[in-house]
Order: sequence, then C-alpha cells, then structure tokens
Amino acid sequence: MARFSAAVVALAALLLAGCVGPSRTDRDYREKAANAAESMVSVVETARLTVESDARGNSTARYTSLSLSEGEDDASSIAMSFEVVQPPSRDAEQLRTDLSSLFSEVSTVLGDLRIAARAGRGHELPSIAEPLPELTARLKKFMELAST
Amino acid sequence: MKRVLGLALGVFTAIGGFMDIGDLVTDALIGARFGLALVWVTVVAVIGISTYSEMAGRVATITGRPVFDLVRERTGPRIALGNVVVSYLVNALTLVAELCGVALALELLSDVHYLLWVPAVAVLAFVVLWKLPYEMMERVYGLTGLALFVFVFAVWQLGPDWGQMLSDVTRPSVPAGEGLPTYFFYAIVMLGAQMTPYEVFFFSSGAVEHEWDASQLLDARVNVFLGYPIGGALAIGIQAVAYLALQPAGIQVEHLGQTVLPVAIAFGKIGIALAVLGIVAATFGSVMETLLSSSYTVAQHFGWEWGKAKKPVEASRFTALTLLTLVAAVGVALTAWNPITITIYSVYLGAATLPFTYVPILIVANDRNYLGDHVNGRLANGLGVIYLVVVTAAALAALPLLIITKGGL
Repeated sequence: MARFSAAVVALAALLLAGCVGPSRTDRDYREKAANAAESMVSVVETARLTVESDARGNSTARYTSLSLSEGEDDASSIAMSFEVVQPPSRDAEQLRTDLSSLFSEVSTVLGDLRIAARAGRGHELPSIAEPLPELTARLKKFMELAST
Repeated sequence: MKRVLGLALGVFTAIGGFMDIGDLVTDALIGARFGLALVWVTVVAVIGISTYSEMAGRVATITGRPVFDLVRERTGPRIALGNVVVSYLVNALTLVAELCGVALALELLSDVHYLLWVPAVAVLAFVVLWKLPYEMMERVYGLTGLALFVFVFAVWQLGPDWGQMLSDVTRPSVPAGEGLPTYFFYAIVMLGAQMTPYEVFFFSSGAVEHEWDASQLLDARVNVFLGYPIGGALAIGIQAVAYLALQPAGIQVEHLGQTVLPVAIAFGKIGIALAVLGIVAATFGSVMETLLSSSYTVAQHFGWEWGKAKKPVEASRFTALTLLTLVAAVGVALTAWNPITITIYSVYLGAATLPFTYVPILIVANDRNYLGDHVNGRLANGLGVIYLVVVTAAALAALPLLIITKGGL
C-alpha cells in the first residue's frame, strides 16, 4: 500500500510539474514573466538560426518549414500559458499588457515566416526575419525582471 | 582477420545501440542549457553501464541463461515479480518514446505529421522483428546509427575554443540563472538516459539469442568496454555542439529539429541528412531493443519459451506479449502527449528505478553456484557496489528534485 501511495504521489507530481500555478505576489508574477520571456527568446533565436541556415543554402525546405511551424506553435503556447495567469496587482497588469503585446509581435513575425516557408518563398525569409534580433533584445529586458 | 572483423562489427553495433531518443534529447537539451557542465555524468554513466552490462553478459555467456531467469531462481518469485513489473513498465514507456523518436525524425524529412508515422514504424518494427535474423537486425541499425558521428565532426567544424571547452569539462560549474537542484535534477535525468535498464536486459538476452558460450566472453567484453565508451563520446559530441551553437543564442531544446540545428549550421543539407539517418537508425534500433526487452523480462520471469529466433508458434506467449506491448505503445503515442515530455519522463523513471535492475545482477554475478570461477572479482564488485550507491542515491533524490524544480524548470 505504501508503495502504491508513493507511486500515486510520483504520478501526481509528474502531471503537475508542467502546470502553471497562480501568482500571489508581484515578485512571483515577475518571475513567471521572465520565464515566459526566456522561453520566447529560445523560440525567436531558433527561428533566426534556421532562417540564417536556409539563406546560406544549409537547410532543406522541409526542415526550415517544420522548424518555423513548430516555433509558431511554441510561441502561441508560451503566450497563452502566461496570459492565463491572474496578475496580482495593477503593476502586474501593466507588465502583462506590455509582455503580451511583445509576444503578439513575435507571433506575427513567426506566422509570416511559416507562411512564406510553406509557400516555397524561401528567398523572402531573411527580410521577414529582420525584426527577430530586436525582438530578442526586447525579450531579454523582460528576462531581467526576475532579479528585480 | 574474420575474428577481428566480427569484433569490430560487434563494437560498431554497441556504439549505435548506445544512442537512443532519450540520449539524443537529453544530450542536446543539457548541452544547450548547462553547456559542458554535466559531461562528467556521461563519464560516470558509461563506466556504470559498462560494469553492469559486462556482469550481465558474463552471467549469460557462462550459464547460457539470461539474467531475469536467474533472478527469479535466486531471489524468489515475489521479489523478482516486483522487479519484473517495474522493468516492464519502464521499458514500455521507453518504447513509446522511441517510437515517437523515429516518427519525429521521419517528419523532419517528409510532409507527413509524426503521428501518422507512428503506426507505420510499428508495423515495420514487427515485420523486421520476425523476418530479419537477429544478428543482421542488430548490425543494420547499429552500423547505420554511426551516421550520428556527424555530431562529433560538427564540433570541429563549429570552430570551438578548445581551451575553454576543456576548462568547462574539467571544472564544471552551475551556469548563471540555474539553481543547484535543477543542475542535479538534470544530472539524474542524464544518468537515466545513459544507463538505460533495457540496454542491460537486451545485452544479456542477446548473448543467449546469439548462443554465446564461455569462449565468447571476450566478444562480450570488447563490445561493452569499447562500444559503450565510444557511444559516450558520441553523446558528449551532441552536448558539445548544442553548447557551441545553441547555448549562446539562449535556445532551450524542445524539438528534435533543434537537436539537428547545430549540424545544419556546420554541414548544411548533408549534415541534416546524416543526422536524420543516424537518428532514425538509432531510435529504430531502440524500438527493437525496448520492445524485445519488455517481453524478455516477463517471459524469462515466468519461464515461458522466448526468443526472437524462435518461430511465433514455438514461443506463442512471448510473441503475443510482444505484439500487445507494441500495440499499447502505439496507442499511448497516438494520444499526442508531447513526445519530448514522454522521453524526459521515461529517462527520469529509468533513473528512479535503476536499483531494481542492478541489485539482482550484482547478486547473481557473485553466486559461485552459477558462475563458478567467473564470479565478480574485486574490481567488478568494488565498482558494482559504488554504482549501486550512486544509482540508489539518484533514485531517492529523483522525486524530491522533480518537485522542488517543478520538473526541471
């Protein structure tokens, strides 16, 4: 019975580990914002490196298209997970608005990249991807929130 | 010459067999996140898996019987049954991860969603399982899996600062922004990925399938002591390219495509092709190994007729269980649960249950009634006990660390 209980606890922990909990303090909310921004940087940088590889002729059309498509899905998932967290104060609400707006910009660029890649317009990718470095820089400013 | 070629083929097979989806994902994930700060875990894991695989292989070659058969006889049916249940479940979950791994790799090359590849891969696995001779099956995926060395060559191509890399490996430190609990959580995950229990079951049962006897003890030892360390070098190569190409950009690996990205940067399309070929071969091989290992453990415990070499009608329960396990694994894979998450949890559970695999092997390898003069020497016992302490500590720490780090966040 003890072993069974341990197994249930382990299973519950496994299932709960990936869930997003509520935020009760501004500090906790800032940490969640910083984590979401960090995850989004990963998505944006993956897209940037993929487009760079494609532009150099180092990637296949299928690989580029799939990678950008997965990035768009990830961006949407990160934004949604962050936006469902209840902000605990007015300041946190403002943070939510600012970061959500930035996430929306990222999603628009990633969507455009995915559409161009799937339509076989690989030559357009570098120009569509031009805003990515700046978006990364802006996201990194939100990552610093965790230490404030 | 023929003997040397045979030994070399065995080593190549072991190298390809060392890598699976758990390794591929965790190596890239950890390299991108922790740089080379966990390379020491790979070294620890390779010594551990080699020590215990050698013991299991020696038991099988000397007695002609696989480990689980002897475990039941030596420890009694109740204790052995618990061991079998845990081993079967971990193997089966790993099988789900491997099936998804092959499908995800094929998705990188095709316009077909990975979920549609899963049943096709399962059908192919079943056909190969019953149509291809054991040795050929092992060698085809083992040798093709060597294409993964493109990751090692990519390290040179990416032009690293070798001095910095050496310093990172020899003086590991927790990267800024990461906590010590997260560092150790991923150390345990990597240990689970590289000391996968099924490798020991498969190696031991494979020795019986090959009908190895005492005269082939050298083959078994060469496979283990050369093949696994070279496989470990391959794992370090994947960590290194992720450290060089992904970590500076702040990329967190969540897709198989991100594992391949450094190779694309280094070698372009040919790099992608070789990496995908290697991943398909290594993960398909692991589908075979986890599938067979699942059925081996159960069949050997209950004393059923077993073996891939046997006709299905001669080993009907073993065959039925193999088929049922494969169908169930396909069912779980088709739930569309994130395959990378499945992989991480399967290696985590593998780590948490490692003592269940290693304790009985150590007991049997010390029993003179079975092994006569071939029982463990001081070195094997010393290493065996040290590793038992290591894997038990890892298993005990696994759950608290999972909770504290919220699953490695």
